[in-house]
Amino acid sequence: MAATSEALSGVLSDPDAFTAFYTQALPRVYGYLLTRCGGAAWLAEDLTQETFLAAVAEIKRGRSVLDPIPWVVRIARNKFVDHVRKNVRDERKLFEAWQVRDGAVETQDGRESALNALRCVPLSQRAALSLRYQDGLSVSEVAKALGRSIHATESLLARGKETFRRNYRRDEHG
Amino acid sequence: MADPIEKILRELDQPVEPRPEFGHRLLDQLLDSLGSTTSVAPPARPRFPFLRELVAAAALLVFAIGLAVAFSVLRSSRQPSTSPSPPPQRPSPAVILFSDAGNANQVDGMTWDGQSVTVTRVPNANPNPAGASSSNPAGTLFVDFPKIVDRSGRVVAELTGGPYADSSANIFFGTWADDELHYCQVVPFLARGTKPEVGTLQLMTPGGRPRDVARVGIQAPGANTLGVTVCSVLADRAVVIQREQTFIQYWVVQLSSGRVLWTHNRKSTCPPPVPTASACGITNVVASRDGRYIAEEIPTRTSFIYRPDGSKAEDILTGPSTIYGPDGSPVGNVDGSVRAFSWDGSLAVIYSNGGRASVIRWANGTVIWTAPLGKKIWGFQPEPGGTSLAVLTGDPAAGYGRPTSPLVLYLVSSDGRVIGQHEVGWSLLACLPIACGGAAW
Repeated sequence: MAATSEALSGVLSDPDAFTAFYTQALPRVYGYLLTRCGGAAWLAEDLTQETFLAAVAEIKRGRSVLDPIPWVVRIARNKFVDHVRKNVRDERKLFEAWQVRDGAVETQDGRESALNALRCVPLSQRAALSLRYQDGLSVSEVAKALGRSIHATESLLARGKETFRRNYRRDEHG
Repeated sequence: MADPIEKILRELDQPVEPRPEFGHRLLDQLLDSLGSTTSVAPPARPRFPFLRELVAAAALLVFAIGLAVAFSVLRSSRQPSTSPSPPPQRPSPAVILFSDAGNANQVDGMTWDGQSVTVTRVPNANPNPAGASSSNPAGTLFVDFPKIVDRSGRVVAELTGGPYADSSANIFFGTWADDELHYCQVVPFLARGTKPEVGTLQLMTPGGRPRDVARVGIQAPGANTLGVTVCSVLADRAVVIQREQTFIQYWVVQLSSGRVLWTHNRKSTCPPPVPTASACGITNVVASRDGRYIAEEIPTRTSFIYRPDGSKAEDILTGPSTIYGPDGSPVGNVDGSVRAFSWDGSLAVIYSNGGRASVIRWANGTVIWTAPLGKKIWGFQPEPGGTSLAVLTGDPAAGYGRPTSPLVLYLVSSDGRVIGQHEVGWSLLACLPIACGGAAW
């Protein structure tokens, strides 16, 4: 059963309705964040937690939501963008920290290869790629979200695609 | 035609189920948050027309002052941190887990305010007589090999595959991290081939995929001499230690980069062949939970634990300890054998050179608590995020085997008060490894 606005409006008094919504939304939110976090489960969990806490805060304020799943995924996107903007200075450190090291890559299928390749794309480039091609934002919207100029965003996208392409091919070809 | 990379990226998004433990815990937290909602009544008309504005202005002022104070405190206290994630919120109070005094299959708990609680019963199907073991610092998860379970006994993950595919691996080799979610391990646990094998430090979550952090140490064929003594996600450090007959080496490793921050190699003071490590002057190494402080002790003399009647109960090797700070330089000395640190590293559990166990503030040597006369220390556990220490004491006559008399767990505050005490059957589940039945790590 799809979560509806009625289900959502009833969550304050009905934990079961909230649980039903949460059960549906959790894999969507976590999957969304896991990809963008380069497979770093700890980070995806942190952002998932922040996302749902923000959602609950909105619900408690009596916010009316027509389509709850896309709504909570949008909150997840905002949390991810916040994370990128806060951590972009430490990007190199984080990139080094969680990239897959030699011998640790286990190519399972095309999706796994793509995830591994995305994991190796630096945070700001990865964020630009995800917002542009996975979330379907325009270049100007991506630029606004990341606090960059359009020109800088286009550069991020081009470099991100190149990094992704390089790692994806290497992974595909062992 | 669209760029194939754009197509690949578009198709990457798929729902993914997170770890069940995470999902359940978050749901509990959210339901709690929802349940704390107070009914929203329509705002009453203010009795004084400008009261609301005044209150708002005052609140704004207080908020601004608070913000400024917080900002200045943060600025003054902030240290360069490479922690990969903010500290997670703990969903439930931290509990010291231990086996029940009367039933080895019963796990009990004591909250850090000294209140005891029944936790769970572990089925008696476990070949390990100790049953439950190895809890995370807050006692929210523990190992009932080959499963990792939560306090209610619900299975969170199975220890299968990887190193646990080896049928001889029948204990948990991980060292829990201070974020309560991760643990560190060094693989291979046992060098199986005919050649020495380099150890790999890994970080992982229960049921998750390990991430290789660094390669450290070399184990001889058939040997299991490498282990993790500290795993701190919050401080971005792990301490890997290798204990051999002729030397001890440890590495302080940055988890985020795999970089070895510093390392010490201490050789035996006796010529080989060496009978036992401690008898031969090899350093004992004890690290604080965040790896920022490490005590090295060279046992140089035999001390005695005396019974209240004055007779000798057991001899122990003690010696002066040197404490090294975050960058590996010495920051203090203790006239005794350091066995554990408090969570923040300011307190140490020691055996003095007279053989008496105590808790001291190592920076100035102040003794804040002394164990009952004639009692040996059987384990310790620092309060997660706090300053108290749980110290497990017992009759030294029990030796290194299973104790024949009950052990007593003391909950000691940082000012030396005993907040609580409880009789314990055998094991303290989050026991710091150096004291747990003489275990290697």
